[in-house]
Amino acid sequence: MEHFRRSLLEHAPALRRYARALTDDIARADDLLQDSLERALNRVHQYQTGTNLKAWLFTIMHHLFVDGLRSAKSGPVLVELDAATLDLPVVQPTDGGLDDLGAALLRLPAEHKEVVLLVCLEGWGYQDTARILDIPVGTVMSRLHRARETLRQQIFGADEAGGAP
Amino acid sequence: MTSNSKPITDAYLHAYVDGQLSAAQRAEVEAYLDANPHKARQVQQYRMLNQQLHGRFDASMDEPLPEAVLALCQASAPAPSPKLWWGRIAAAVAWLAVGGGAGWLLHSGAERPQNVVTASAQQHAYDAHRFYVREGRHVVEVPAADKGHLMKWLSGRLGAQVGPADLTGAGYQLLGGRLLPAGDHASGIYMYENAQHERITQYISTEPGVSGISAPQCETRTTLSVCVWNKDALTFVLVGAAPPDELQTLAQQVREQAQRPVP
Repeated sequence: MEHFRRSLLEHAPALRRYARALTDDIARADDLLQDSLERALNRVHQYQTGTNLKAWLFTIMHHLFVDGLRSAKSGPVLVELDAATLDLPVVQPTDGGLDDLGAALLRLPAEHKEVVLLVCLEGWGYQDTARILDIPVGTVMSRLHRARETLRQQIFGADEAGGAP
Repeated sequence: MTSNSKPITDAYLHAYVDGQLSAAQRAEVEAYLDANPHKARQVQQYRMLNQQLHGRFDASMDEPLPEAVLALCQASAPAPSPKLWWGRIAAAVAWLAVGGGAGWLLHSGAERPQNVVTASAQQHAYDAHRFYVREGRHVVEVPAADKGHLMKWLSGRLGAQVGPADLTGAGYQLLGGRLLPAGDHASGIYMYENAQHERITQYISTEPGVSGISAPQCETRTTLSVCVWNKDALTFVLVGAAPPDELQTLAQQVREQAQRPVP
């Protein structure tokens, strides 16, 4: 158990980065991080020693993130009290600044965002990403292509390179 | 591009950028890119996109982890259980000692200064719920048995008559309550529990921020629902694991009962 906790601490920074990129909200990201680690500790018996702990932790975070989105959608009166994410000003593509990236990420569907962040930010391979999200590798590839193309065109502007069939 | 080389698909280009190809495959793609400047630019932009993602989010890895997370991962801490969880408690006590609201304000201030004050009451309520909900014996300072005293005490510190609600119709019994600091202001909580040992926290605070919300407004925050409303100078927040519509109904009941004069 002691070793397990130390391992959690080791993976916490990467999990936090992923949470931050998913939510684009410091407080929510830290909540997501804490909830994920709590769940990991509560379900330590489900973890198979010798398997990839980091991937298991990312899987837990993925589930909590999706659960959060689902319950947010099912609520009757949902008011964003601490995030202005729904009313983001439309940012025109300019010079590829970070604001463009932030706005483009917020517009991305959650399932595309997860794939692009796991692969491009967290450096997971396609097989691992497929396992974390519990989807086929082919789906990872197609979502990755669509998400990356969307981001690329929003940040750098559409051009013939991406538009060619 | 030579006519006899096999077609390079987009999937191949992504795999190239993501380092998923063998040396031979990489050479194949590179030859293709040499012959197709448009595709080379596309690949270059994918790489720049990766760099931008790292540029935007890598700094979060160097920030000190939240106290609560550190406490959770401390080797000496016991396994989390619904009973006593000292690591978490110590972290939250430290958080309260540091000045409650100040930590939260500094924390999110860089991101959205315009919403900070609005969020603080909900955040304090949310933190208080998460902090105390796991407690067994010490979940409240004053138990429901001393309801009269509890009500008088909290009302005195809040400067207004605020009693607990009667939620027995919805299956929730009052457990008791406690006083909490909210920056320079006072806040109090009443905690309720149902037969399934699910708890909800009613948070009442004099801290400024939210105003003019007469009907409870609910949001979901990770695994919890949070409803907020105002009455006079007070902010009320209800927090629980119930779905937002269910908590909203409870919030309505709490609100309606608070409108009546306290006997």
